[in-house]
Amino acid sequence: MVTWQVLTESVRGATHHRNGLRNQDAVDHYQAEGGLPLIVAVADGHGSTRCTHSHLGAKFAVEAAIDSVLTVFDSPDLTLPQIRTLAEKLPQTLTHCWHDKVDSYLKKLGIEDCLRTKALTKNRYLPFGTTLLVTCVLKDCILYWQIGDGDIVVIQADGMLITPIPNDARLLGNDTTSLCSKKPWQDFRDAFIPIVEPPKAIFLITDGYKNSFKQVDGFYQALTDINDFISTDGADSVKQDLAGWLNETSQQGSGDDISLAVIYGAEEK
Amino acid sequence: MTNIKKRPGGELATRPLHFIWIADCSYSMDGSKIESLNHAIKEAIPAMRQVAADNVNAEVLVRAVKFSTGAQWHVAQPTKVDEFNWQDLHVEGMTAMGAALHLVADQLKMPPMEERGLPPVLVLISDGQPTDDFASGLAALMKLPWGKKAVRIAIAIGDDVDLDVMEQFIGNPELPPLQAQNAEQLVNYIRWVSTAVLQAASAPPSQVTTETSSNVPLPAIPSIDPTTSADVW
Repeated sequence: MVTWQVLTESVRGATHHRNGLRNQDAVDHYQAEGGLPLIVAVADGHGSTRCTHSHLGAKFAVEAAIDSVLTVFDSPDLTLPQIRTLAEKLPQTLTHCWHDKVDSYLKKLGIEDCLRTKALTKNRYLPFGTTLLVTCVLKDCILYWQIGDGDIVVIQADGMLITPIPNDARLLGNDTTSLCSKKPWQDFRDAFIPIVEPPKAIFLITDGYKNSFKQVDGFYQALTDINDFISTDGADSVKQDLAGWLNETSQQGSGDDISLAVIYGAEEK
Repeated sequence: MTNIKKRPGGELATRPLHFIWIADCSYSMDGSKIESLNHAIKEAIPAMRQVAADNVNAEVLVRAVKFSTGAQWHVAQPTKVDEFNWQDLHVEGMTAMGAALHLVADQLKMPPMEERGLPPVLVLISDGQPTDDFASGLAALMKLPWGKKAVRIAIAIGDDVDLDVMEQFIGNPELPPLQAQNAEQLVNYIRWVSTAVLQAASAPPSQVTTETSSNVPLPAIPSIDPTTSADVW
């Protein structure tokens, strides 16, 4: 029997340090008392001059992901076909949940701040623009959703690395799809993977990490190394070093914020 | 003693940013135009180096294509801006702008381009009209993901330029061709491209694919002083 655990870290990018910008990523997770469902979400706020509140957009996105996934998948009685159908519909539910959080924030603002934010754009969600990566582990399957850039990588039981989410050719350079788009559910990519053999680890990572490695193999090696360190030295030991590694990676690499969540299996004793 | 583990993963690297001058060397550029262009680019190099030094997470790599009766690489190797020197261009022949764009397109394929790179900056400089198949060159460029995502700037020298061609190259109605009527204006525009545009491309924030017509948020185009006393081309 595998019990799932989660390790997360988020660091401000080297470029953001130099330019006095905050970390615009967010990472969060929820695990039910019995261990399942386990929901992990990572978001990367865009940080452009139009996306002035994207750090909040990212925070609302991971909250909306956990709220909406939990609401839909909390029942243990769902069959695999039902789960699959619900998973396909989730992006719309999640988007509405995120919109509600943004609207609630705007409502709480003073009227002048609120008008100023809305006046920036015809799309009131644009200032909150963010990507989102979500994984939900259930008893018999694992669900994945993604909008925008970033990576979800699974280390399978046999050690092979797979990327369950299909590639999106539009995500090149600094262009990304976003939760703040007009119909963002159309830009979500998702995957439904029944558990035959539980994977060793699942990584959710913002794009600042992969963009920091000279070769893509070096990025995949990093994920294998982190998983090996967790196995050999324990998650607490890795947690101590993780922020330092990510800071070094950002400084010598992309300069971007880096957020990483890893779901790893531990054999129950 | 704490056991510090080696950082996970392979070799790290800053993100490559390819900056390509695409310069007209046709015979109509003879005299003060080509002299001014050579001077303006040489003058801009120290400022480019400073921008690169201020943005250490981008590796600025500079190259140049020249076009006249045909097109060829003037600086073929992507060269770190610290090592980049400008050899003067000399004029001859026609205006094979389409051939120049084909050359650039060949280099914007993946590989040699990397998916992790920053959007390349392409600066087209011309005083005339293409004498070859411009549309085919532009199509070759624009069918490539990095061609479409490139920051494309055009500088028109003098009054005889085909601005429609330049607008097609830029592909962004919000960014008109920069029209230099004299040496001073050319220097100003080259400096703007080499500094402000390079700076913007070096650390671009993520942006939503559907919300903007520009691949990188660009700074304001420098205003031109109409009272300038320099000779008009």
